[in-house]
Amino acid sequence: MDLRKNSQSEIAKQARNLGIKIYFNHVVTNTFGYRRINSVELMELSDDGNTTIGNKIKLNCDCLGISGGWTPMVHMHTQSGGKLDFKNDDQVFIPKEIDNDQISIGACNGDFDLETIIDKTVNKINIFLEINNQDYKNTKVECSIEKEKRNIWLLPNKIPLGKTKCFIDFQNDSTAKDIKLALKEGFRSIEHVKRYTTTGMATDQGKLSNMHALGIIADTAGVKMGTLGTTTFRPPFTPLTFGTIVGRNVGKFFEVVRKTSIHDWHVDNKAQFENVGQWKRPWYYPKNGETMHDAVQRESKAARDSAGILDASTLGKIDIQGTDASEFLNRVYTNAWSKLSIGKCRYGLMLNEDGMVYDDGVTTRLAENHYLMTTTTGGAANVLGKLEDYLQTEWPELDVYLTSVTDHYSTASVCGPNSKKIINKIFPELDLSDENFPHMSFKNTKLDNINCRVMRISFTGELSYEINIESKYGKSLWEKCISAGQEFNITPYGTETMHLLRAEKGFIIVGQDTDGTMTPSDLQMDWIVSKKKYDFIGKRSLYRSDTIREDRKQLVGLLTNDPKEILEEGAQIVSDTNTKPIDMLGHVTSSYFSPNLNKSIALAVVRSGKNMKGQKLIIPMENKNINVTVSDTIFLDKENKRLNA
Amino acid sequence: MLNTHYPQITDNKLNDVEISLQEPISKINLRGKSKEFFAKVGKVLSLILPNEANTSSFSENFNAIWLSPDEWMVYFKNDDEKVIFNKLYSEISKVNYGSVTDISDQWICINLKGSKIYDILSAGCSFNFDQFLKTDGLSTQTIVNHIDVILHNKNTYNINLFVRRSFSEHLCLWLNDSAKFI
Amino acid sequence: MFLINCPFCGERDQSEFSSGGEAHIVRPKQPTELSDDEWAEFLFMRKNIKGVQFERWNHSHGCRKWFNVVRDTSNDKIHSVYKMGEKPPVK
Ligand SMILES: [Zn+2]
Repeated sequence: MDLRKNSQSEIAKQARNLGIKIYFNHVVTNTFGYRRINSVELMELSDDGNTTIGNKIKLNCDCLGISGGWTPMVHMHTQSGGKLDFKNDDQVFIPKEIDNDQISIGACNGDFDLETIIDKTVNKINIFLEINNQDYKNTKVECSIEKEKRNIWLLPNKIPLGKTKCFIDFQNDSTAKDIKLALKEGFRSIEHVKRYTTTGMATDQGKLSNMHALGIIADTAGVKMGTLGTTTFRPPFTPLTFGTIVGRNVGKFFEVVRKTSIHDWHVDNKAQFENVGQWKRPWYYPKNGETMHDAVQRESKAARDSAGILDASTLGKIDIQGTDASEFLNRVYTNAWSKLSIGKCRYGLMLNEDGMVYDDGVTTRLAENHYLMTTTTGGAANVLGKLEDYLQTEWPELDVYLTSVTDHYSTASVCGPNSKKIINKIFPELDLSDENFPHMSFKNTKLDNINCRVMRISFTGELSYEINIESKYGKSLWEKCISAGQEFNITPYGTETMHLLRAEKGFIIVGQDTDGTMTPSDLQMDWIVSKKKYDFIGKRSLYRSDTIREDRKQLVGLLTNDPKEILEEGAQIVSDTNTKPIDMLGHVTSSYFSPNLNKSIALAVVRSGKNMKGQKLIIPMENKNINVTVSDTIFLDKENKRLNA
Repeated sequence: MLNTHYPQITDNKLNDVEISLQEPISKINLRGKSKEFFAKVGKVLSLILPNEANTSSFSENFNAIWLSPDEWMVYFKNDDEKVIFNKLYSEISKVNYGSVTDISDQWICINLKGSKIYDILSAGCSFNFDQFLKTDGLSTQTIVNHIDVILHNKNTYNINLFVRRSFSEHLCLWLNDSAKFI
Repeated sequence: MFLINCPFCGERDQSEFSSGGEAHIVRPKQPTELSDDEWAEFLFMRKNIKGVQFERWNHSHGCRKWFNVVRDTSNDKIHSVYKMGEKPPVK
């Protein structure tokens, strides 16, 4: 069947010669069969193509193939930002010439016969490449050309539209009726009709259906095809398997894994791991079938009662050298650095230019113009990028060089009242007295002739030493600490215990107790913001009208009235459950059961929380309301006596 | 005694790709801009730092890779006593001519040899190796399987790949896995 | 995806770079002298152009240098690339 009135093309001639009957000016009006097709019914088209005439002809068949003519594949053109023209002769969209580094040639440009294609291609390439190639100038191609054209988007049929199905999208089974319904419902934009009917949303992405859908919309709405526009031609052009996209990133290669030099020891000692960024960090070390809770309680108690050891190698480390290193630190941290003497360490808080806490860590002055900065594990790469940004773009006059040394050093952090005895066993020559080696200082020393840096800094509130050593010795150093600490029951602890211990001391974790909306003042850390410094990153934002609001969310401690009740992190906090809608005051950011205080403790951000100490609040949960009291953020050892125990 | 532990990278030969760990190798990061900086480096290492992007230079004992207009990585066979590092540090960093940082354990050096090494790398890397593989001594920093690397073309189909220590085992597992499909 | 011609390393895939937003926004030298409005202008206000935009890029997985790119945000065509401190090309 061919809906054209005639064709003189070679293929039509050949079909006739072979005795194949072609029903010109005919269309299929119905199909028959159960489960599979066995016959079709066809009728002749009226002159204007709006209706069928004459008698029904029935033909037996095994299958029915259909063809909708050619549609230029304009995907590449539009995906690189090109627009389309509508070519009325052929009823197709073709690329609109654009001033871009691309040309469309051949069928994708709407040229369907070989002679035109060769002609135009040579011409276009000559212009595009600014050459003058005449090799194909007089190429004569003998090929049959289809001159007769006829286009009908929705074939006429005597059966009412509801009684028969004119499929438009063969994958999503959307029909002409659906499209007409969409128009009746008031959808006009092609993008809306697409989503209402799902036409063109199957895996072929409308390659079979979109032109028909557009044609039917245009006919029904009485507008011109070219004015309707098209939906977006999105990549990929053909469906891809997921394998093509992800490659070998499956199974153990799904995500990149970073390991510390001590990783194998943690595995051998049954550590459960937590993902921190790309790092695998020991989470806790269960013994004899302990639950996580049991293990963390044991580890936390051991660290405060005797000694604990943590693999702190994942912290970001940036080597800072240059004559302006001190000035640079003054500009990036909120506190002052010029007076830090060589051999000393200082905690620093880094803000974004908007005044919100961005990162924190301890920085050590190694020499007059040489510092070692530590960053949070997750923030390491971003902090280095941000600091380089300021050096290269805002402060190119500063003589400062940054080099990442995160992987170069491995760090074993030994804490607890017996830590000094353990360090003394490992480094017998090192004078550990408070006079020689006070809190927040470091010593360069040697272990078996290998350079070590021992820093007396603490994230747990306990007396604590961090030993930095080149990573190839990291595991050996760790094992040395473990054996030296054996008589003191040195207990390896993971990130969960670390989080619990620091929460007892009210130390924040950037990214857990902060979320990019907390200023130092919100964290009750005004003490770390220098009043004297003229400028540092984020300073000006600390007294914007919004950041000085009294009713900002502020970090507070929470104690549950029932000391055994552990709050859920993320739980909402309210003061009154009777007035609806309930006013949300904030949420819990950190929550643990402290074995050292034998009660539940939590940190939370609460609106105007600073002035609410002692106030009763409510944490509404699914089955009950939990009563809590706002407290100080420091739960243990407010006087910092343990640091010098 | 303290023992050394290197990442578990077993030497492997598969489909004409040889992967082998090259440690211990000392590595030093050098940064600077001043005339004095270049002069001191030249004096201590008998080497002129390359100033052309993506290239390297070498002297009898040292290789220097261009990392950026003011940054280089020098690598050489092991310097346990840190003699070279200490010398550079005191002649450059201490007197404020630039920065000198020991990064021996920051990066792990892995040697790749064989006619298919660029096929494996290209399975996880967008870098165009056309020029790189033709010219001895070229270097580049790029990403292989989402991991930052420094590549140094020693000679034909023989390159040193530097990867941060923490990523090295994962990258080598991936390289070995990819080699199976070449 | 597109290629960026790092002014130091040459042409590399976009995945080696990170974008740093609009270019030529200079951090005020004396932030404390500014009113809330003036500071907010620096802190928050960006043009977000559809079309040719001057922006900052960092070759974060290569030489770690920041530089400027003139990119048409509507089709990712890069018109030119120049170093920090260099004069932007005239449109
Ligand atoms: Zn670059």
